[in-house]
Amino acid sequence: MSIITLTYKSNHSPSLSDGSLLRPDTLGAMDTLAIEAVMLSVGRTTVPLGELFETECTASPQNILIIRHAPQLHRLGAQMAQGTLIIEGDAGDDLGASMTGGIIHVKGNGGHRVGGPDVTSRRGMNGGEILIDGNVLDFAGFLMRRGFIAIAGTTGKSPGYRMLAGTLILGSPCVNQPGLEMQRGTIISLSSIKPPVSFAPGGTIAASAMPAMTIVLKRLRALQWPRLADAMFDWKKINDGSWQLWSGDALTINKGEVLQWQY
Amino acid sequence: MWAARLIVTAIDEHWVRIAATETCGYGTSVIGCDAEAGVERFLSAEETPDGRPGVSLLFFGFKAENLRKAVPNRVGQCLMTCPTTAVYDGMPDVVATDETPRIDLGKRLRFFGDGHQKSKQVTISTVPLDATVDVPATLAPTHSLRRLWRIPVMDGEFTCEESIGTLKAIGGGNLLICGIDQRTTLDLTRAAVDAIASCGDVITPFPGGIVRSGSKVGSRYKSMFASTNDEYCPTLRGKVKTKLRDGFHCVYEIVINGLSESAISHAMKIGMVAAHRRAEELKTKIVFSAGNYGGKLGKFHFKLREVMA
Repeated sequence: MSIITLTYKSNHSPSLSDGSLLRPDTLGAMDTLAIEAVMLSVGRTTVPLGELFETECTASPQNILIIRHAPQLHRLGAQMAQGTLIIEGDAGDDLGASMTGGIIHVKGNGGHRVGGPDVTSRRGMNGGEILIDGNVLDFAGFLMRRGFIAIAGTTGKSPGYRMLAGTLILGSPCVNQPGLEMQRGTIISLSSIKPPVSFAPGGTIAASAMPAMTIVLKRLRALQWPRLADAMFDWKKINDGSWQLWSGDALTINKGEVLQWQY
Repeated sequence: MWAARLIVTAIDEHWVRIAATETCGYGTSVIGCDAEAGVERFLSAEETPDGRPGVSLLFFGFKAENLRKAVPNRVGQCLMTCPTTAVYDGMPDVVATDETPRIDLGKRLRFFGDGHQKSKQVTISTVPLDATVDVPATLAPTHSLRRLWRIPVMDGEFTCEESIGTLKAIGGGNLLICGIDQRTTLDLTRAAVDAIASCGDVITPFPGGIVRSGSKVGSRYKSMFASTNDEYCPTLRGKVKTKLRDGFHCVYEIVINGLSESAISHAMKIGMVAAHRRAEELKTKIVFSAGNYGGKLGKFHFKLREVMA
């Protein structure tokens, strides 16, 4: 187990676009030489990782992979099972595609289909946690099955589109059809949200009446997610808050829920 | 014996106490109850999974199979019905084995939701984060992924962990406190029980932590597994061989169930120290004893001299 820091150094043309091999659970088991020898697809050729990244490895009780100054890589953390992946910058499309465990923290923006299905898969992420400090593009949480995604910034079209289950947390206002055709799962808005008309309003529920949601928020706090680090919540009064509830999507099996935090 | 621990939370301390009282009711001795149950300790909002006040309850049964029936029944009847409560596994890190299986809890109770129940797999953070590494706290090492069932009820949701862990544990650790009269002995024993309440991993399952009808193993009647501890009954002095010393006319017993031998031993020591201190305050005499009933009570022996060493 180790903390691996990959700092992008190359202006290789064409540039690296697929980041699916940059996973803490696979690279964490290797030494520096082995990591630098990993072959990455660049355009029609493959090049050793060492040509594109400066690699720094330190022993640690956990697997942590930090990627710095890289271009927007697609499929980062795809099928990741454990460990922590930290992207100091922006991520491309299909971040955490079909991941099953571990934590991904993007300090910049994400692309399309965060936590969605990987190539050939019919299900999105099946576990793990994705934290995004910035904005994302369309269909965040597409077909996600388990785990949670927290997005501090804005979202594109229909976050939670066709969600199967899991938890999607939105830190900024959202009116772009959140949860459209979702089956199960929870979309939590810490700002304002306008679900599609196929969602039925369920009124206001005291936070203390839904302890499972408080546990989700407590997890975010433990992860020191930026929105919460900004003292968004007075933690001692968290159970004095309430949730505005919508149930849906009536277009499917109607077992999903959209919750908006109220102060 | 086998043990299970529940963490029960509620909207405030009032409902936590009611939940604890109801759930642990009729849970004194497995001689006649489905389980021995008691409050391990009350928890502050910072210590519980959902940030509400709570209580840690311990349940003991002869076998894991007994707990498999008793705990879901008690949770279903006493906690799901109690306003605002939620129930979590208090031993989530115990590895399930054939000998120490997990007990289905929410997995059984969820059907009360009549199809409207939902599950949520969540990571429950239990301790503060270690900030020794210069990377975000996404490293949080101390968390466990748990499945909770959310059962819709009329005041919101009853949240209940899918299953709970069990552990091989020890029941029947006992301490006999002999005093000069009933009032004084009760006072001394209460002091001991109050002190034991501060110990972790143990409960004193009897009323107020105290037993007046201490028992011996066996009886002259075939249908009875246990009968009165005649050697310590003051009214039988002169009629049976007594263990009461001259001038001592009352005995109370504290039964201690614990998750480990050391936890029981520590609790006994704390109890004896507190009772002795109280006896000094009252300027009265006190005698401690304990019983293993010729080994019939179990393989563990808590010799008081060794406990106090």
